[in-house]
Amino acid sequence: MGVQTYLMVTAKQVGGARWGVLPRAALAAVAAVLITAQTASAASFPAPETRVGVSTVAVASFVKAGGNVAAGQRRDNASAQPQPASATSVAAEAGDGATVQLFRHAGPDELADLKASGRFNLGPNSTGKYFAGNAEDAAKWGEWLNKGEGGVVSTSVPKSFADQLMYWEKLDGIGPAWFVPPEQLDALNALMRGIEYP
Amino acid sequence: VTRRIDEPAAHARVRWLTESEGGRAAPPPGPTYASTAVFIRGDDAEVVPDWPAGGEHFSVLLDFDGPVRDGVVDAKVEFMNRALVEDDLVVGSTFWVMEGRRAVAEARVLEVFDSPTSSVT
Repeated sequence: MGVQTYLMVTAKQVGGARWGVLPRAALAAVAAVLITAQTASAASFPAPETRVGVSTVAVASFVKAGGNVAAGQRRDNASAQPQPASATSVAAEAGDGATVQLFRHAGPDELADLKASGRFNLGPNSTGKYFAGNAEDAAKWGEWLNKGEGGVVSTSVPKSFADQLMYWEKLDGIGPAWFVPPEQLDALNALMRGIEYP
Repeated sequence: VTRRIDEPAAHARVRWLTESEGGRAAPPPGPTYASTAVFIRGDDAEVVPDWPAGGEHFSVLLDFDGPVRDGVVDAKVEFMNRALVEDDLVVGSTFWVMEGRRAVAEARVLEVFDSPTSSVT
């Protein structure tokens, strides 16, 4: 039995995300569907990401419906309504629903608390917890707030939870950001799938 | 937040909203506090949906001059990306200090300093 090739497709639509793993024979049909969807929604269609595993080659493509800010529109309006998570931080998991990976730069004190408790906790000055969509963006905010001291941690949460959070498509001209208010911190700690430390 | 502000973009008087006004149970102790700011521009309150949560947010850092007295403190102000706020950051302008969707303080700009256009590294 030779090496198998699969196409993993994440199609982000207004109604939510759907995905599947298809054999090579379905490539052409799926590509046609994606192109049709892209045209219909006038959405952006970033270059595919390629992940190479031991026995599979996965190609993930994202269709972002209405994700671009039109000319003249305000740049960083916060989302009053649940928003689709950024394509860069959405991971599809077989049989377990989509998740969103969140990144945060923790200063030295917060990093020590995270390692000790395994939870995101509020300090006396805390307003809630802000998260970035990738490690590079988190490091930029961390450089500004913590002079780079500490490190970037990450976790994954169900997309259904992330969609409930306040979300900026591009905060500070940097990138996507999420805010977890104090009243949702317990839910974050209960739903997140571990913490990855630097 | 471990950073103090050496070269502020501005100096502002910050009034923390009381809990009955929708603010925090108590003002933050400081000396530094980071959150987002939404500038109050003209009739934004009437025309921006879901104001002020639906307004344009900018990451802001406050460095208190001293303890909060009667809910008020003067503070040095810095923005993550100064270039994005240069049109709004003028003497007399005001912004909400937000905690997510909730406004927790109102800040009035007392002084604006010459500084680099962006603190983004």
